Amino acid sequence: MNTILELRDVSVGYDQSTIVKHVNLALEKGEIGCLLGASGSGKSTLLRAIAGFHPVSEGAISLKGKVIASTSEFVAPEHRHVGMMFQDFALFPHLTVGQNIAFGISDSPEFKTQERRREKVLEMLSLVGLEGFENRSIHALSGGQQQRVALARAIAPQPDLLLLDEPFSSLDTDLRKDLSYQIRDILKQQGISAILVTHDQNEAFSFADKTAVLGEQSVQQWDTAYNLYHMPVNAFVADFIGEGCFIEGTIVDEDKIATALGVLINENHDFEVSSKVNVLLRPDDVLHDDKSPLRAKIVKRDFRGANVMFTLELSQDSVGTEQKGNLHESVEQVLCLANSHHIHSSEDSLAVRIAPEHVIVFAK
Amino acid sequence: MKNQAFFAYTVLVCALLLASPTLFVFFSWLSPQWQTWQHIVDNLLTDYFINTFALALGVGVFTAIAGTLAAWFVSQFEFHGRKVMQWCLLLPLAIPAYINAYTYSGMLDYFGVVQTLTRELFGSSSWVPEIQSLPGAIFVMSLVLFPYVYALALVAFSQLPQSHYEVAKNHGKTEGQFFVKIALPLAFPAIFAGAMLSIMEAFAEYGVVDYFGVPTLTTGVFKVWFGMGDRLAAAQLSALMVSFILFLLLLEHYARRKQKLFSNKVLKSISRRPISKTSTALGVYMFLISLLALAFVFPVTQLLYWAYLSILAQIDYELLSLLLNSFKVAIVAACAVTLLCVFMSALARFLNRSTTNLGIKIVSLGYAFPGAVIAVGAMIVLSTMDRQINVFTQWLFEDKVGLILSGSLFALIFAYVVRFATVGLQYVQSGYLTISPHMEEAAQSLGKSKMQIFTKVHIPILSPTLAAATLVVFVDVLKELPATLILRPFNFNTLSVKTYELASDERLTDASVPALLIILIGLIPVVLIGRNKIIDA
Repeated sequence: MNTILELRDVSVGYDQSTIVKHVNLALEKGEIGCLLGASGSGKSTLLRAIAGFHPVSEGAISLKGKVIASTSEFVAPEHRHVGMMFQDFALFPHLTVGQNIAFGISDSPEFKTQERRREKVLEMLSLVGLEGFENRSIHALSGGQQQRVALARAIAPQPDLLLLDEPFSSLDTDLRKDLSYQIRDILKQQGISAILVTHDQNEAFSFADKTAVLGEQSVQQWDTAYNLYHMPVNAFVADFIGEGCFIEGTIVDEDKIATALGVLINENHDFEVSSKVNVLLRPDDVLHDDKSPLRAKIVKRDFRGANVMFTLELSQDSVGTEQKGNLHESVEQVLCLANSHHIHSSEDSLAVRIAPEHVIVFAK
Repeated sequence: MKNQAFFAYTVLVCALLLASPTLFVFFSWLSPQWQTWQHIVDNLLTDYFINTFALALGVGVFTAIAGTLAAWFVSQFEFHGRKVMQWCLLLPLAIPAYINAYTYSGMLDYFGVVQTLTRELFGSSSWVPEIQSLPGAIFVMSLVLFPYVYALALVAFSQLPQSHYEVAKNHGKTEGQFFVKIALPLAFPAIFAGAMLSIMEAFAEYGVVDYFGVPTLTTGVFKVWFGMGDRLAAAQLSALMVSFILFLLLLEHYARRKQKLFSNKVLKSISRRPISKTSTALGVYMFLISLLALAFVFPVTQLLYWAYLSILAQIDYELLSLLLNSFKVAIVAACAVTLLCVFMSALARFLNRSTTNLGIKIVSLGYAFPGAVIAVGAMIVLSTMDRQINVFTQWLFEDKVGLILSGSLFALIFAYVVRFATVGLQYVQSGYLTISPHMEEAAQSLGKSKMQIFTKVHIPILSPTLAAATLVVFVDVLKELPATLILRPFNFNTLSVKTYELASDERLTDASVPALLIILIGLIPVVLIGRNKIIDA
């Protein structure tokens, strides 16, 4: 593999306060990464450090094996060959669409002649699906069109890396999805390595190959969407990604954990026998099954079209008598994603079966 | 990085250079002129204080009331001719207060149109009030200054959210209660800031009070400078004025800080309502039309009539040379201001250091200082420099070069730049607000250097703003009177100085053509910029 971008032990901050500490991640050539986090998690600051608009206070950032930012070295943003897209598009209002796209290539020897530049602009316009827009004014474009011009402008000089700072968040929901698919296709087709910053996990999952979850001043996990959802490395990631609940469990032996919903199998845990743990249950781990003897009280029904999200309460009565000994006093809740054809509106309890493919356990 | 520090200090040096005349009037207190001061305190100072503060207060109150009411009517109600009225109310800005004073004097004197008319109708005109008085000065100044309040209040009132009005109506409030309890408190910072601008203009005014014979601190500076020939005492008196103005600025700064609290939200702004009662509508029309008539239509008509009487006698070679002189200094000063402001703003933008921001802040204060004070300060600074230069050339070439700075047009242009740099800076800074930092970062990530960003992004985007800034400063310079009177080289006349001289000699008819030229040129930015601004808001 061919690493394009590497962050080694990078910390960034303002003045005295550190925002993100000790970040380590590597992006392969052609891969799309994502920095996902709530506002204030430092994702944008980290991106700006990669672009060169913010200094690093510790560690080093390398692009194509060459250090571009550390405490001792600094390559100016204009010499990094890193493209950037912004939430507000940042197109130049005094230039036409074509002139905007040509802005970054006008000084390069490859595009010295007018014809070469025009050729490139037309190539870019057809790539982003805006043929014939060359002489339009920026003001005459819709938000989605403006962002596609911004993409064309950013990738026209063939940057080594493209950075996208919440590029879709100023667009409406439908357009946002469509545009993110289109842009992902273009990047993949052109083999462009990119890093997206977003607070929207669905956007991260559909856009990126790998996502870094930022929180509590550091990168919690740098992984694929599948692993973030199904195999979170800690409670923060488990809580931040997707929906789910923690229920209490007690370690029975090296592969069994007793819970209110029965005994679950996890072969990899290294907790001591009889210690209390938290078990992560995703809504798709709890299945609706009328044949199951296990019934749970329905607290809330959230109709979502194809599915209904049930919030269920596990009480003493809902569980088989043989397990009562393991139960604690407090009431626990789990989520169950069930087919919406059976909404069970007249019932106050739901028969469920538990079938987790990955039993994720954290210390209590 | 070393370069950056160098450039950051350049900005500060420019700012200090611009502030030097104001600073030097304070240094004048290092050698107090006790004898002159004895005389000033015994005979003059009480009058100066009373008149200056009465004038400032009167102008502040009148402009606040007239500007607020006018803005309220055109921002809240729909009536025939509203749109025309909305921007016509800015037109008085084109008339310098001193020209308004000359015109009203002419209209109200014994042979003027008002007294002649009242004598014909009622047999006597003795009840026509004396305009050449303190109340008269307040009146003519308020008429040209109320648009400051009007423009700011209009923006504030137009931005009131529709929901506020609907809530008030839901709770059974009348129009009057909505105005007093909701609109007025919310728009108060804007109204206050506008009134503050008028007060500072009133403080700085020379032409009106000189002509009306109302002794104020500004006429005092002239009296001490020219009448008593004591330049240091004049500077010391100026320092006193500057202290008052600094205090006013502090108040204004406080008002503007509060203004920010409610201006950021994007809410549906209030829509105009029809006026339900005929009597109310009539009252509104009467108020707006008489305000516009008094502030613009009457004086301009009078000037046009005078000009009609004497136009052939006045259009001559001298008028042409006056125009040329005025244009020459105004163009040079306006271009210098714009270049300086772009230079400072661009560096402040790129470097964003405390040094550069301090420099920008210092320059932002400048507009508040009276032209007379700046002229006195500039004279002190430049004549000190002249002395040093002459000592140097004497030593080097055994020859003196004379007053190359203080005795030439340089002094005048320097004072103009100092006086109006703030105006240019406001425009350039607001232009920079339209360039998002992301545009610079986009350009940088596309491989452009700072210089390229400046020439390829900043300048093209700023160009309309730069043109506007140059135009506004050009017109301000053209209208300027006190600094021009003090600093113009011997035999160098401008339109404003000529108007002043002719009016002082009671040759009002002959003053009408230069006066009208000043107003005509003054209308250009009011029409071009004022109209856009109001419509944008």
